[in-house]
Amino acid sequence: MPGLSFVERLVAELPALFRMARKMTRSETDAEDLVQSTVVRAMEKRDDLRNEERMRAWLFQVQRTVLLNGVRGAARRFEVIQGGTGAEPPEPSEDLEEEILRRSFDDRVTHALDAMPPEWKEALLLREVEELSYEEIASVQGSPVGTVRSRLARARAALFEGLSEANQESAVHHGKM
Amino acid sequence: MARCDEFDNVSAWHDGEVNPVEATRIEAHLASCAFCRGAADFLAQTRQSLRRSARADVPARAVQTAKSLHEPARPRRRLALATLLAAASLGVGAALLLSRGGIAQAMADELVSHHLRGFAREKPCELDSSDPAVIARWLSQRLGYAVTVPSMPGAKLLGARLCQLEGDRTAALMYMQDDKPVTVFVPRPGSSAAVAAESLSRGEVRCARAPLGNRICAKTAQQPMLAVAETSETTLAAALEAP
Repeated sequence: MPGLSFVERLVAELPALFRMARKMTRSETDAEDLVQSTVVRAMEKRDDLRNEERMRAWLFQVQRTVLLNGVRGAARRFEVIQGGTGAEPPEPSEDLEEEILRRSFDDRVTHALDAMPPEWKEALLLREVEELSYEEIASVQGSPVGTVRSRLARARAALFEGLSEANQESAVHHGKM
Repeated sequence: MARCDEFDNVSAWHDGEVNPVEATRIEAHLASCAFCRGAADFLAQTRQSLRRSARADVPARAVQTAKSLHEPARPRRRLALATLLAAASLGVGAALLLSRGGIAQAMADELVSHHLRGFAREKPCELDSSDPAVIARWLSQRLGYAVTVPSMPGAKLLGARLCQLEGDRTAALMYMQDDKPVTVFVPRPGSSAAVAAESLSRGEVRCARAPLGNRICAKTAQQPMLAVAETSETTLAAALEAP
């Protein structure tokens, strides 16, 4: 995003930071705390960003450090962020049965995701949701690319084995989702 | 279900992280391996599921918070136009005077960041004490310069910690005033933070707006110091104005 200031690009990446924070903390409040602290830390460390095109990966790296160091409810304590808890989940679609099956599948995926080691979960989300390359995930996690490849395969194997039953059930009812 | 040895390669293929030769080989394998075909379908389904359930909405207040970091810290008392004109006529740059009336954005960011992170710690103070003499002695021993611990009427002294402001080790005194955390930074004389305090203060207690709804007030009566809190300028200035 050429021509934009650091803060403008930071604001543009807030959806990705919130998406990842919600998945990693499983709490709206903790996610807000985490993003809040990440924003402050990113402002503080902005000179460390060498390649502006890799800002998203860099922000995830900052957020990861903040998360590992513990947020400890800073934003709650200071009431920096005030107000409600954000948007409501989407309304069910017209095809209610399909929607229920889809949500059931999503719930199982979420449950299986929460049960796996945090590094696997993080790698999977960075790849599947944020569409980061293996190299970018490696820079976020501070691990070799080969380790990222292995983590992703293990995470997927865990999901596949854990959800194969749900997957088959879904396929029987509606074919491929 | 028995797992195929090619699963890891199918995972990388699913991500497009294999070279063309490898991709051709894996696709040929998929044509002959029911397990891997099922796995590839499943990976596509889970990708959709993960994207579906990933809420990306951003609370408006979070955007405001991020944008507020960009707002320049403004002095509470602006220089009168007549003063600027007079300064210009004397050959003094108006921009220089304006910068002296406030506090640099980078310094404001750093003060607020240290303030927030200090109180966000499990144990905010490195030294827990409400005794100004004990704190002054503890800080002076570690920093090598005398530190005045202001009494701050209406605020409870919690203790102190050390921090780095633009590379200089600095005393951070921690108070609680009406359930609001307050940090008073007492920098080494001559350091950039001390110069910032002198520039903002200009001999009296003066305040500036700072990121995240905080205020920064400075005074130099005993030695340069900068107080940071998310409170009103009046409240913070009144506490700092005490002798």
